Amino acid sequence: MPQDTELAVRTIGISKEFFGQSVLEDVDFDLRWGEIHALLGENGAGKSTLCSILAGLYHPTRGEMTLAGAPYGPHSPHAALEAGVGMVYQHFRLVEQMTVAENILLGNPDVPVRMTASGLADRAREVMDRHGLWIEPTKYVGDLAVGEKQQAEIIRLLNRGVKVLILDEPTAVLTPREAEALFAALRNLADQGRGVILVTHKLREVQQSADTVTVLRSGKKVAHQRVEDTTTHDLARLMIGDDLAPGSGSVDASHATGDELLELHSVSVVSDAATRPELDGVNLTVRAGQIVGVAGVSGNGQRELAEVITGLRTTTSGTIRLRGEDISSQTIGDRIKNGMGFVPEDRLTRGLVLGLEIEDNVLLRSQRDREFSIGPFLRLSAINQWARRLIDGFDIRGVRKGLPISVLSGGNLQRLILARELSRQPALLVASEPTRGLDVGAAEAVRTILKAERGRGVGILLFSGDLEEVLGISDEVVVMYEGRVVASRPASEVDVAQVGRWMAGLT
Amino acid sequence: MTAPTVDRAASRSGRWHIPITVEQRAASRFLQQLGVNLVALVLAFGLGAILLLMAGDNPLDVYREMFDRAFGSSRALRETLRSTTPLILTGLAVTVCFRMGLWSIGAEGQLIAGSVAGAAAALVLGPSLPAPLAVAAVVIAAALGGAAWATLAAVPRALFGTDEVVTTLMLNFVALGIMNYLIFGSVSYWRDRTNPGFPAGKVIPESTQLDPYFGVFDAGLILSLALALIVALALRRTVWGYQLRVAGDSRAAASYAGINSTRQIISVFAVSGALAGVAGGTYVMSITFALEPRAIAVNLGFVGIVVAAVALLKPLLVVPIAFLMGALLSTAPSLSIFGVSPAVVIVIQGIILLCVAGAQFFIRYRVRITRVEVGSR
Amino acid sequence: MNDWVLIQSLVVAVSTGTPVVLAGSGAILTQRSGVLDLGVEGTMLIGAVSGFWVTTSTGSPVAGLVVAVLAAAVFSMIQAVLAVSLRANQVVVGVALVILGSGLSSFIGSQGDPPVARRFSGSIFTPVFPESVHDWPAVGPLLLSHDPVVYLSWAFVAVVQWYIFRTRTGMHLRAVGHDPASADAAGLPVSGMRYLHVALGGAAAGAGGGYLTLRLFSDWFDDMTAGMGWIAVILVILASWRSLRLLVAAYAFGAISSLGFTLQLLGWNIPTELLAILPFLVVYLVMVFVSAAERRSQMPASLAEPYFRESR
Repeated sequence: MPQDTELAVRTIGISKEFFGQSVLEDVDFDLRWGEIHALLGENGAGKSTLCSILAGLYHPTRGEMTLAGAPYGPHSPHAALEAGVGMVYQHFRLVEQMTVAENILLGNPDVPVRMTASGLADRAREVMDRHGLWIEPTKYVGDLAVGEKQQAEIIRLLNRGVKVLILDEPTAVLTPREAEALFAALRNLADQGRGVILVTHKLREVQQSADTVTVLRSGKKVAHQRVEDTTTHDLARLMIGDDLAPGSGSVDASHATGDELLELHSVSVVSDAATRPELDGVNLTVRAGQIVGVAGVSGNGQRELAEVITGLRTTTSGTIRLRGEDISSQTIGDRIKNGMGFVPEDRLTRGLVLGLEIEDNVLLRSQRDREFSIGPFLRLSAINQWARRLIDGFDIRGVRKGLPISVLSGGNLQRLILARELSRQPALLVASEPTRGLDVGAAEAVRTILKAERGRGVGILLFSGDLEEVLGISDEVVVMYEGRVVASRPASEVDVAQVGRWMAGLT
Repeated sequence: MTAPTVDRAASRSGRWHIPITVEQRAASRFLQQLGVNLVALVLAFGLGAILLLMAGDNPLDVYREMFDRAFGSSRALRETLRSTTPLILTGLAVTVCFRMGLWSIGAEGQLIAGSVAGAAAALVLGPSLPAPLAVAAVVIAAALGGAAWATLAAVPRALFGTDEVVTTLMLNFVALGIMNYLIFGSVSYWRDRTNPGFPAGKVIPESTQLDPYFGVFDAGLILSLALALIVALALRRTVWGYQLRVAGDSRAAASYAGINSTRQIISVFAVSGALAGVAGGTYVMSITFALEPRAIAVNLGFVGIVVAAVALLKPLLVVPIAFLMGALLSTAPSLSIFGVSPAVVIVIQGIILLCVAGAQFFIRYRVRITRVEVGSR
Repeated sequence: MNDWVLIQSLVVAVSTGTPVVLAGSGAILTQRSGVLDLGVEGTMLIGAVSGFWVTTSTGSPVAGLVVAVLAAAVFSMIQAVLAVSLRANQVVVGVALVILGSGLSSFIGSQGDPPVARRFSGSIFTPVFPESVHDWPAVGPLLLSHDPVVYLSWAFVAVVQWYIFRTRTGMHLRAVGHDPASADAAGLPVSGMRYLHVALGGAAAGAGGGYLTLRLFSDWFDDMTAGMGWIAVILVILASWRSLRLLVAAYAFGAISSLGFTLQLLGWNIPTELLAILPFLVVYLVMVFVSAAERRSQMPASLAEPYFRESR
């Protein structure tokens, strides 16, 4: 490992603007060789942008960078990689349709021009032995578990001679146990002299695994400290700011829960007999005026559960009742009529029609409603008025006449979906990841809306990958693992550690 | 999402770097889009001029002649408007499908199916019905014929997800073959039996032949204008049109909204096929007066794609664009008299479509020369 | 059906299918890179007219074929610029290229003195092996009686198959076609690979067009491809982007197209107009059947999707 200087990477006054909007301001950042350096911040704090600049994906608007003491300004991810800086993105840069060996060796100049699958696999084994990591090289990446994919990605970068490894929220998709294995591997890499940057918004991870931490808030660096000199509490305050308290622990006990609203009895979904069922005998109850939070590592059936309840997917067996009525085989349209609201996980591709205007978007899912159509014809003026009401009522900003809603910001788009689904006055709201990708303020606003709806007697089924959010606003917590509900408890009776064990399939 | 997508287009090789930034626009204004397309149109004629120069013709003379042949006299105008009618209809047919993201290129075959059905109705019912009823019967038969032909692609698409580009294309060739067979390969009901040595379609009765009003335009044009208006209203103001627009923008959002995709796909194809079919029916009634393969199979369906694309998939814009394309088409026969290959017209159409397809880039993205200011602040 | 008829039909199927083999194998390369080249029909026409012009002017079919290949490769660059650099809708671009190729080839055909379209070239390509071996039972007519281009097309099919699965660049090609973002991250030149393979596909389509005009028809006339280019593109899909399967599919197409010839040998008389429908009808039905049977698709995952280096 070449260590001409103590510093691996240094940035001086890096700024980045998109369309004149400042995302990073004057950020100085130092990474030493042999350390794991956590880059901590809320969503939208600018940590991904900073890493993307280091990895050559973006160009800084202003500022300088050095790598091992020499000027550094990669103009493409490839140039960064050549220079020895590699990034593990949340979406792995792996070709799912190709084998592990092919992926590890992709773009590697040492691969002979003529090759065979077995020759390639041998070469990949060699590489993995060298770095002490192992995944069966002849497997197709598409067939790997998430943790394995992540390892394949790291091996791929190490094979390219990466000296600085950047990981963007690497544990978001891992079970706690997989995460521990990852941190062990990262520690090993750091001990070999590499510099590791760990992007995260989880305080526990910083305490657990990092040597140094840099905290970003709203595009600015607010702290740079050794981890042993800080506490979780300090970091939380630095990350969120003094003005906002963390959103957890705010359960207000002063509301009453009502009758059973949604009842699932041994609901299963089996799309392929050869693999494990997507959903396996799920039982679940949501009462009026209650928030039921579903926790779990992503990919353990949460998406499928939301889809069978809302009608996007059909059940293989079991019954779903809404206010006592069996809705298992009802169409989506009928479920909407029977009082089901749905905030889908993919709000940009499913929940909204980005290419159309606001009127078309408030109409989504209500197009057959008497209020908005007479026979085959739409009542444009009624739709128009309603759109205006929602814009005012939910403070949706940035709407421009004659332009599609793609001009709105993420927070406003999410409020638009909530506005639309709630103004239909549903009995039940299924909300999937309603705060993902929003900044702190927008996320808090969304949670406030959800709590207010609960107060009005709406039953809410909340799916969220943010464990603190689930525990913070739910009355009841349900944990999913491999398509099954493995635990269901009042939120007041559980803690993060216990839920984390359930999420990992432990008891 | 609203954050701009950025790349440095020229920096892929990793070795050299041209300071050009390409940014995705969040949205663009309608007029801006129209302007870009008009520039593309002008560019196409410019490229056509270069081709003519290379072939030794004076492009100015050729274009002036083409202009005269398209608009210079009432006879010229009549020919232009005659070519406009089917192009409005195939342009609408393509618009309806493309707006839903169904890449049907089957207007050609549906137009032929409409011609066959329309000609049959004219030959069977024409002699016994009064003129207006006979014409209506031809239009309805043509619409049904076109819709039925489109269904052959729609049903597999809706039920099995069969790629509509492939099926509509193949069905075009099948329709063409069937029409050729009816006239050239057999003594069918459509064929003129008075002259066995020369295969041709039987002339339709006079009650179904459309006479131009004022010697300029006929009922077919009025029908096509009315249909353009109806399609525009249907897209804007009906549940069907709304669902079509939603599905065209996002399939996932359509299923989320409870839209039955099978029903929607089949109905959109059927409407599209009916419009193309009516194009065939009116074409027979106002231009060929018989099922005449040589005159019918002239790529009106494909030109419909050009029309729809230039018109930004807006039904009302289809009308003026179809008029321009109709003018261009109607000049083709006269060019050979002038000593220029009529294929120039096809070339220009091709270039127009290419320019318009390429121009979408400048609608969707903003290209800027970047000033690199690393280290200076 | 007696053996002689069967063998003669297969021989005709091979020569009829050869333009499709060439154009289709090229289209495999293009589509494997993630670009859907619907313009093959137009590219073939450009190859055909330029090849025919050069051959009738110089008397050299080799020069004609070379020019056909080059002209078509240049023509296909339009596709590359629009689809790769300008990220245009590939269905629209494909249709536009067919219109342009049809018009431009017809225009070129009307040029020259005498015009290209009035010229005639005798049967130019002669069989590689001496006449005496053509009569050997079965293998003689089936394997040894062909002209050099047919053997070249076989070699091309084998090379394409080998290239895609057994070479480093072929591996890169698959990566670019399936997942350009990952390929980009691995340092592969996504746009460069796409340009290159669009050009290769265009060149092969040009060879197919050249063969069509120089060998099959010995003539040039407007729109002579009559849907062959479209068929080539579609057979690529049916052959799951593998050239050996494409070879079989193309000869099956050749056999169906030349069915009229076979039926004549058998003394049956069926109108040519109906026979002309047959290959298209079969492809339509096969396509519907295949999609209904829902096989797992081998399609390059980003086919027809332009690549734009992604933001956050």
